[in-house]
Amino acid sequence: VIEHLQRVLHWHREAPPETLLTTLEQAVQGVRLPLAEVVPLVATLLSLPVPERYPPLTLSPQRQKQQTLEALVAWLLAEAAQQPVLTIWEDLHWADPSTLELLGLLLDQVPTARLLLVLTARPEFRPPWAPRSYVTPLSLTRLTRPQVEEMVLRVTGGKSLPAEVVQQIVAKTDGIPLFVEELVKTVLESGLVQEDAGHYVLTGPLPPLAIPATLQDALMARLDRLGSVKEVAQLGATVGREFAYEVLRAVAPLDERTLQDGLAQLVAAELLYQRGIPPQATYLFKHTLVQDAA
Amino acid sequence: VAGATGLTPLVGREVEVSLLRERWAQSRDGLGQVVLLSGEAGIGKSRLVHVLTERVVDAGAPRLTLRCSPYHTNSAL
Repeated sequence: VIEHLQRVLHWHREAPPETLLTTLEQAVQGVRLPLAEVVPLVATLLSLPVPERYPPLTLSPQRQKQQTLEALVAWLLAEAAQQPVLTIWEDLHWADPSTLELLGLLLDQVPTARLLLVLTARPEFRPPWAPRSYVTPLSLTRLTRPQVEEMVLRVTGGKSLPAEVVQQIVAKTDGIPLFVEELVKTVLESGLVQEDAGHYVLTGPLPPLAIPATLQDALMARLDRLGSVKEVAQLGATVGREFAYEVLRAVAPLDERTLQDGLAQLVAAELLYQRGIPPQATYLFKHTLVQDAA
Repeated sequence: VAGATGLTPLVGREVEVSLLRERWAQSRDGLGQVVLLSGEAGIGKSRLVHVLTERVVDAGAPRLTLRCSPYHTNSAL
């Protein structure tokens, strides 16, 4: 949540606190919320000094937290009053208790707001709130064998793979789409097959262990093949699933040229998504498993 | 196909995509909705969200993404 607010406010770590506070005030004013009630709470949450023109916060820590959560909900609802808003809360199985509390408060307000909340979580996540008519649980299932086969064709660009390769892919991926994609790419990059008249044919006997058994191995293998670029991926992974070029440059013991080349290769290998152009760019690991593998 | 866009091809998720679109249409008209997408790692949660996001952003509506991380589970918000 804090990271999101920082993005909204176009946070620059170097910017003086007064500038950040002005941006915050403008954002709050933009959605027509009372400055005096919202700014001190949100500023405190973001570790910004609250100027003396605001009354000091004299609440108990518990009360202050409650009011901060309420202010954040009010902020989002005010935005939704101006235009419909889609909010996405990803990977709730890792959410901290305050984030879940915020979400719980927000849930009560959803039915009368122009707001769609899309929440994602692993199956072990148990929602801490009661079932509601406007909450739709949608559980994603594994792909069937024909679906896996269709997906293989889509990844190869319509060129069929030898039946025994497809057989192994079906067996080892268990219908998990990301595994299918990564294993097909591993096979295509491995030199085990070559293209011949719109099809792929085996270049030799197919070793049974040609396909890594787990995605972690598959991703590791792809990263290894990229050589020195692996170091760039590892640095990015320590920053987070999403990281800014500026941050990476600040921590990387590499010159700018090496860093940009490395990132470009990771984007070309489709392990990272890129938004913007360095030095303003941000990068996103395609999947947390990619981040973990690095 | 995937190579051209950098995206995992979407196979067998027609029902899910249409449900998400329908819920967005309801929300846009003032009947706020919540969809909880659950599934194991790699099953395609982020991919589905991406489909919806593209559509919504194309329509000019704002989108907020909050991402929880295993590295911050113990710090508030």
